[in-house]
Amino acid sequence: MVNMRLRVQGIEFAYNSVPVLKDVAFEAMEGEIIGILGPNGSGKTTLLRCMNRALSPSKGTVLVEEKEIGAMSRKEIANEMAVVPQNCIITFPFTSLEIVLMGRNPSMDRFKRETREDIEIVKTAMEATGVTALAARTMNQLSGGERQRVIIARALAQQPKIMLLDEPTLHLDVNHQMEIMELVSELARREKLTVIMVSHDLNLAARYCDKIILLDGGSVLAAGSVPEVLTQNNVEKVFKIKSLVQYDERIDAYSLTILGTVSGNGN
Amino acid sequence: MESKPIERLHADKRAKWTLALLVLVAALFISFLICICLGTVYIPPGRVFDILIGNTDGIPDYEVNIIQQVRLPRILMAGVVGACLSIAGVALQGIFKNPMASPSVIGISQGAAFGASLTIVLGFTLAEGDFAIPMAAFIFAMITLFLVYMLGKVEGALPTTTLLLAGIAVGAFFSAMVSLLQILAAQGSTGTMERVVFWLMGSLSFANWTQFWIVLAFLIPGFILLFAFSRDLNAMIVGETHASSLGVDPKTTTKIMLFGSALVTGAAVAFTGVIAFVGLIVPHIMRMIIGPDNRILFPASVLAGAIFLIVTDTVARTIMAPQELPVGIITALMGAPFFLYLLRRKREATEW
Repeated sequence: MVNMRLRVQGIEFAYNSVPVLKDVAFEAMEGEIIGILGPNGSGKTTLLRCMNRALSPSKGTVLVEEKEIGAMSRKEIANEMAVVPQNCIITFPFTSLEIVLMGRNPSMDRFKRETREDIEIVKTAMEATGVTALAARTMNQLSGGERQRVIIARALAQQPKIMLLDEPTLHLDVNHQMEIMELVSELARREKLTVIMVSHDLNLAARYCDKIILLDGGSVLAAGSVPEVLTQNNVEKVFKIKSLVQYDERIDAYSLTILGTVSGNGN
Repeated sequence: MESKPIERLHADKRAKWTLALLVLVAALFISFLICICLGTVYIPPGRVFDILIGNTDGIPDYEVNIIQQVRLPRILMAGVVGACLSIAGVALQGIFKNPMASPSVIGISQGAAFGASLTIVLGFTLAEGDFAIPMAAFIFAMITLFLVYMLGKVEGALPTTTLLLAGIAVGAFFSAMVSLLQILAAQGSTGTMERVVFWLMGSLSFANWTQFWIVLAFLIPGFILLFAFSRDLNAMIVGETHASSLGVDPKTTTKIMLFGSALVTGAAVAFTGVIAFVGLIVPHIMRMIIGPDNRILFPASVLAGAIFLIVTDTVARTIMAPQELPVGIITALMGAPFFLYLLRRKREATEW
């Protein structure tokens, strides 16, 4: 029996009365990795921000474990859902350990200090993402990939059921992109974490996601498994490229090959 | 670099915090004891101690008076004012994620200066006698905060960049108004201009017990408010999206920090005028020594801010005695080199 973790129902959102999301709906199960794909301006990041109530949709609801997110406090949401935002540039010299410890914030009372249990949770999270050795280093001393792993450790320290990632591989070297995606898929399998990630990278999404939601102009153009969604027609329509998705047995996953561009913007 | 286990690192950090607080408390105590003996008349520590505990037999009345009515309230006032400006600096540097921020970036000091100048130059009053200038300064500090907040708000959100720009603009406006009033003052009665200038440079020479109690009454709730949200401020420093994913409401935190810092700055500046540099430098020095965690920065800055202003004010009133210098000159003259020394040393050590 696989549990439903997140249900997005008919979400609409507008910035300055310009609609950005139109009737977006989907569901996410336990242990599933869902990729939200779409070109720039298709509403990917807005959708992600509506999911953790950083933004409030004008219509529709988001249910976490069947609880409506609008009725939950920010702390309650943070106990169910962790976010790994796009970039992380910190002016002040916080160490990795301090950053990961912040993951315990939502479950701590205002004037309380971290308990031994909090430290244990943080230790486990840092081991899981391989950043234990970086604990004493400040965030500015780390590489982009290392910083991303620290932020993922912080998300894990929240002990969430759902993890939202906004372009987790952006600005990373290829080896670090792979490292982050391997880590995320391992977490999804081992911790039964539901992972929802916004991505620009069609190939990484095809390879690691169980389900794809393809956004175009703020609405869901297609949703489902990789071969169902990333069809030649859909990809051509949304990204203006010719492509082919194939199962590659060498990596036991789907892979997407870009065959060429579509000239003349023909719709 | 050899890595220590997580538990050790965390325990070390806690130990460092405790040590820092103990050292600061001791330093505060020592600077208090030294500074209260110094002045136009030197009074030896033993006698000062006797006066402080009320054992005044055989001590000349004028010495008792100097300690009880002049030096003690002034030193205590320097302590609370230094504490106020420093915690405001911690709060504002935090929400603006910028080590350059201080109570003057959001225009609070300039607004207060305008209120004070209005009273000094045009005789505008909201309160009686000695309270006329402080009241006008405080009211205008609060008006400035409200203006900056309203101007910085964008569709219900409170982006820090807009807030910062609004603060700088409102501050510049009030600065210009103060200059205008100064020109008017120059043409008016003699002495008015000097009073404005003296107020703008900041001074503790009119400190008394009433002022001390009032500022303390603002400092305590202000500190509790800011300290209560110090962990939220930590999350805000990483970024607003990070903060909201950690269960922190960025808008509430920003509002609390703005309000809390305006409250303590307004109260302090109202009585002493604009004392520059304290709110910028003290949080910074503390951050360099004990790290960026606001849970320790707030209490440490209360102590360090008090020490810093007690010492600089003592220098201001003794170095050219009987002539007194505005303390703002000393805070910058003493603070800047020390700050630069720390900056250079730290940079060599950790490369950030």
